[in-house]
Amino acid sequence: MAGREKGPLTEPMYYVLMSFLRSEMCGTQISEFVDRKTAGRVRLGPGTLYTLLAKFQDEGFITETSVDGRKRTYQLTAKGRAAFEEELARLRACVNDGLEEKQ
Amino acid sequence: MSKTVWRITPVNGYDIPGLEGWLEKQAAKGLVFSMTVGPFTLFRRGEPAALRFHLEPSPDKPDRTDPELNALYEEAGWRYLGLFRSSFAVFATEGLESQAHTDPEVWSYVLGRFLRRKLLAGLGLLALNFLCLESFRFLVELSWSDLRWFPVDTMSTHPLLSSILSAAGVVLVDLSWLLGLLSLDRYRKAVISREKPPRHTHGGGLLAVGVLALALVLADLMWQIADVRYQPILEEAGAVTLADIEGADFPLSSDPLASMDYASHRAGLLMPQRWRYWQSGRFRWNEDGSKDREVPKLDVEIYRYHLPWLAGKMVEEQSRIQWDGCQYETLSPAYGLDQVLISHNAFNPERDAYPGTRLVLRRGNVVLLVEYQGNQELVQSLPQFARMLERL
Repeated sequence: MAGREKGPLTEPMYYVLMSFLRSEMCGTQISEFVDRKTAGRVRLGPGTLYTLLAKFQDEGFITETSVDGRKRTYQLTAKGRAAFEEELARLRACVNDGLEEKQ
Repeated sequence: MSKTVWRITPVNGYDIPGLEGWLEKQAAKGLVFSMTVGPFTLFRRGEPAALRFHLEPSPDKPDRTDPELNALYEEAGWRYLGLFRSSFAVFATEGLESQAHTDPEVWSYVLGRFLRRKLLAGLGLLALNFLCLESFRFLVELSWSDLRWFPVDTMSTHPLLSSILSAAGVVLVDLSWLLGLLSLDRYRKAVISREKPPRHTHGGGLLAVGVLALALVLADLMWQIADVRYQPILEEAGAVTLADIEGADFPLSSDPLASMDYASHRAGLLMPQRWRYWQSGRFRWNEDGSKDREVPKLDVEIYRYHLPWLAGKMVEEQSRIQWDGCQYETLSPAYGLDQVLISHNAFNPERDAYPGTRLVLRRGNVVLLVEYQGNQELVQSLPQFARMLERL
């Protein structure tokens, strides 16, 4: 799977990381955020979301803050924020390159 | 009508798209996945329904699923149905267009991790292979001509059938595991390259037959272990002893290894039931202090076969054996016996202390082999041997 070391993030990875920028999030809130933010363009299946949460936790991008029954809440770490910023910069460069060539 | 339906899983246990397709077909027939037991899948009988299934490889502990995983699926409209062989959590939904994994890269990562875990599980299978090889150790001392010309005799004295079954079982389980990994790898590659995944409808039979063969061997082993017990003293059990042949005052050896007062017994599913005992007279001490081992001896073996045909075949095989160049002579069946064969060894006074006699008796599915060295005429003990067989 892509991480910062292995290449660019996929869209679901990018938006899941983005969802943590403003506050702590649980799985349902992440799904709702991604759906709202992308107007349904990026679909986040439960299997994908679950795997990403586990993987991001393993890589130190997010950390668990609380467990309430079956619901777990996570927050972004400094490493996760750096990964997001790096991806954002890459995407920004991609867009700028495209705009520059288009003119 | 029972609400639980058992089906042999016809698809390989690692073939995710094949299993999902099969579960969907069963649901359309009104059978909803419940759980698995070895090569079987159990379904709850209900109304036919068009369902979409997804098998999510269990992330960590194989005996349970993570509550967060189930919660995320339920919030997305999926129902958790149970575990498939400690490998997958099974989810189903009425939304036929629903997708559990929407990022092929993440899905291929999950499949890769699962593939690596199943490769490691091969170490357990390797141990099973070594156990199976262990059961073949006796083949080293087995003569293939014996196996060819005396198959029933060989099968009666060596665990041939259980070894063949365990080898076949392990090979089939190995093959099923290997094909499953190949299928999983193909699926993972199809996911990476965004191709339509191959969907198989077979492969589960290998595991089912393999497990059945191994289950038979295990049942046989359990039977043998459960049957280990001290058998009654020979005379109480009605067994013919050396004292019966030589006379009541005959001095038996007091060495329990030379003169048994019990019969060793073995019983199992895959071998005939067998009793054996031997006795010998008390050794005499020579003037030089050495023991004279040339005393009357009796060695009795009894085999009870699952089929009378096998017992008849055993007698036929025994009749072909020439002891000291002497052939068996067939006597008229009497005392309720079906077959009576006797052979007298060529007596050589310079070599033998006593004449030797061998008896082969059959009553139904029971065969009795007697080897005797002594001066008595063994035919006179026929009624006692016949009674002994009758009482078994």
